[in-house]
Amino acid sequence: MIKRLLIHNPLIATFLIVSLASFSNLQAATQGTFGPTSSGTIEIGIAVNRAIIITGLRDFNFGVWRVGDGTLIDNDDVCVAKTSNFGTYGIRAAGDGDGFDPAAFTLSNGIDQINYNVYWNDQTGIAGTQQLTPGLIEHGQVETAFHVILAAIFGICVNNANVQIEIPDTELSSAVGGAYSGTLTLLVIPD
Amino acid sequence: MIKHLKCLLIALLLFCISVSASAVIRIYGLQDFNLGRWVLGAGSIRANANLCVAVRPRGPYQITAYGQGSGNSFVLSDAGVNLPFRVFYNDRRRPNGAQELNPGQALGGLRARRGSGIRRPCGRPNANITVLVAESNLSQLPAGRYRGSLVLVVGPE
Repeated sequence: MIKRLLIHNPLIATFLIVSLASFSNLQAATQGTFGPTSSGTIEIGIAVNRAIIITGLRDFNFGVWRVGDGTLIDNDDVCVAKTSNFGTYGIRAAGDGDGFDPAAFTLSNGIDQINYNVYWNDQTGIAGTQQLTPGLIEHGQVETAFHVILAAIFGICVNNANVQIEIPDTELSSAVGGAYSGTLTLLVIPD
Repeated sequence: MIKHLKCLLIALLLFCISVSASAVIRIYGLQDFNLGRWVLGAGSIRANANLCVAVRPRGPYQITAYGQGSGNSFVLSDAGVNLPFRVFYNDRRRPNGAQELNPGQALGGLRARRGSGIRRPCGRPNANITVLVAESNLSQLPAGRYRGSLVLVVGPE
């Protein structure tokens, strides 16, 4: 039995819009009058939203699986950056779904499906990672302040989180041969 | 003869003083900057607007900008949090070639090119002002509505 497994893990950037309308109530600029000197005033306004972005994602290509290879596991360090001062963030993962759950983590060959598991860690590596439930937001993820500063000043998104994909041997063993693929959508939002 | 020369010099001096005192200048055609809404990843925000400066009689002028922050620094603020911005000025009606203004420091040697009449609306701008809010500052802010004012003072040189 040979299965080609590919999970598309697209960059999903989520910008949270917090009902901040742009300025419509700026005081009108004042114009200068004639004189030995003349002065005018300009009003400037900008609305800054709470915002968050996830980046540094890559595809997971598990290659060819054969009976006896066991469970397939791979992980990827990613970057979550946000405007500061609004605390933790939440992560929500959604797969291609199945007949029961539209967010189920599934790969498909067009006919049959394989279920897989997704884990999220709010730091790089897999130590302390937690399994995600399809479609549910796991709140309380922490992003370090230093990371925010690095991203802001240098435009560098230093990895500070990890996503792990696990395709259980039981799923693989019971599946019909073929090339399976699917898309995993990761959504991050400020808590 | 010397006495007459002295009188002439004094007369010329008085004339010069009189001319200097009668010079008038006006800055007008100013517009507010509504920089809209910023989200992470949107980069720095830059906006510019044309304006009019008229000097009579014609001659060079200088401009000084004052922000509302400490030491007249250029800042927008919300709930006590300051957002710095930069200001650039050009004595032509385009942002290219603008020089940066420092708070409270005059930028001189400017030329008021032919523009609208001093007593008319700013139909033919002859200067440009640009404001720049850096992403590095924006991205470290709490959400909010940041606003501030910028006072521009012009004077003949």
